[in-house]
Amino acid sequence: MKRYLRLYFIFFRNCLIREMEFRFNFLIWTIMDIIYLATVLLGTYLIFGHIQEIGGWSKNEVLLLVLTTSLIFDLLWTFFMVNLMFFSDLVREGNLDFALLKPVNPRFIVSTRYFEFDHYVRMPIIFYLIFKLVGEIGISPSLLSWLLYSISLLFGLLIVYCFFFMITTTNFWFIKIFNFSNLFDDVLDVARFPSSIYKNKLKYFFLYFIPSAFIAYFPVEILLGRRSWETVVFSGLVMFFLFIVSQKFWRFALKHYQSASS
Amino acid sequence: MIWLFANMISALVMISVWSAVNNPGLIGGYQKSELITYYILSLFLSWIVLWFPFNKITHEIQEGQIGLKIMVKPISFYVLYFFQEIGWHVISSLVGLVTSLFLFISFKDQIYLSLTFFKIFLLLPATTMAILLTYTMSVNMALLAFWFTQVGAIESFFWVGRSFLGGTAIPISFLPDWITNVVILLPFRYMFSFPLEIVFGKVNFQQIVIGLVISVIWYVILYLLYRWLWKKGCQAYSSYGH
Repeated sequence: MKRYLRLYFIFFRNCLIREMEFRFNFLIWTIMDIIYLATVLLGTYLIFGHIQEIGGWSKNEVLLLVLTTSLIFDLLWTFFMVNLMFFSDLVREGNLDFALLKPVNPRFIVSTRYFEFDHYVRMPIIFYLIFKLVGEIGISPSLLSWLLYSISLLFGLLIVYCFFFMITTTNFWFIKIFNFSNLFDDVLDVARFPSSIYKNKLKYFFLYFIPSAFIAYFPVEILLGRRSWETVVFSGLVMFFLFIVSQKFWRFALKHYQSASS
Repeated sequence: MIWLFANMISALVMISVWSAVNNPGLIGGYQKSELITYYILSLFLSWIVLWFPFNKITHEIQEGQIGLKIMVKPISFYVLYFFQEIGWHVISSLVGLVTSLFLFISFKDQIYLSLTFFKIFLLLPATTMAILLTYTMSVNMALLAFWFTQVGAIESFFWVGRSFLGGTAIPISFLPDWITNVVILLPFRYMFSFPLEIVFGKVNFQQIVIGLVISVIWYVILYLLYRWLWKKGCQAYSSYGH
């Protein structure tokens, strides 16, 4: 455990150093991130310029969803997504051998090796806006609500990670079935609106197959006082379950791995 | 199959949003059923008009392949890539047709569509211009790779512009009036929104003619820009890796 923590720290430092070498890049993408945030907020404002509510959710409540989704987006890209993209390349180009040869858990190394730092400016902005919106809605969540909100966010983050980890793992058989980041953006599109608007079969697909409700819907409902710790426990169980399933799937896939280059 | 579904997701989200809204009367100048139809047709249209060889061209410039591939051939760069896109767009139009038909059938109670021959007749030039403008814009942005490495950032600005000023994220009539007046003069509307506005009858004949004239003017501007960028690019180019 201690060894893994130290490795994690070394990975982090290495990526930070690398990032600092390309400062101009860093600056450009930081600015782009803020522009993206502005555009998703703008989209919500434009829709609510003409209507009062969506499925019983007011403008500020939907904005909370949008911001929470962006927060998850930032966290995912910071910690996981770059890794999964590299992981997919590793399998395709037959370089996974090098990861498997290392004397650490291979899932650890393909999931944590890289970090992306573009989001450090955007996240404080998001935090600020979330606090401001909560004030405007006129709810004053207790410390416990904030805590439950944070825990369910963390579970949501890990659930989405497991989901995408499994999708990436399908690369062992199918070379490239998804345009990865497009699918990711689409999943976040789903999460930006209250999950209650999805009806019939679509509901099952969006809520359970794509675990979109865990990204923002459940956490925000907790913050609004409509749900409580039961949801957190539920998210925790789903996360635990998905983690085991993805681990089994990964083991199964590794058995079928045929290196492409050697 | 999964892949097809993945492409439908954002359309399905917006359809669900408008289904969940209970507003009496028009929303941003559209009926609720028209809005649902708008997003189904958007899906179809984006498969048709998105002639976008951006990644291919930037990749070839950055990897230094462009010299071998194009400069030595007796055919214009612009025409070559245009023809290379055709093959893909035969397939993509079919994909678009299948996915949007699927959505049409799934939501058949909630959609509204009235097409006349006259509208279809006007759609042809509008859609053609959308293709030409998108293609030329994409080539122009890609040619900037001769000078800059981070062309991806410029491309991002294009997508943002297209989303809000071009009507892919939301119909342009949702924008405040003063912006709509500006949008009519910008190229983004003619890359996407304009054919849809014709379908839903949001523009009268005179506005259509004006729109077509503006899109032709933009095409000429973008094409001349391409000629200039290509000429300057070839001068600035030094083939890496050879």
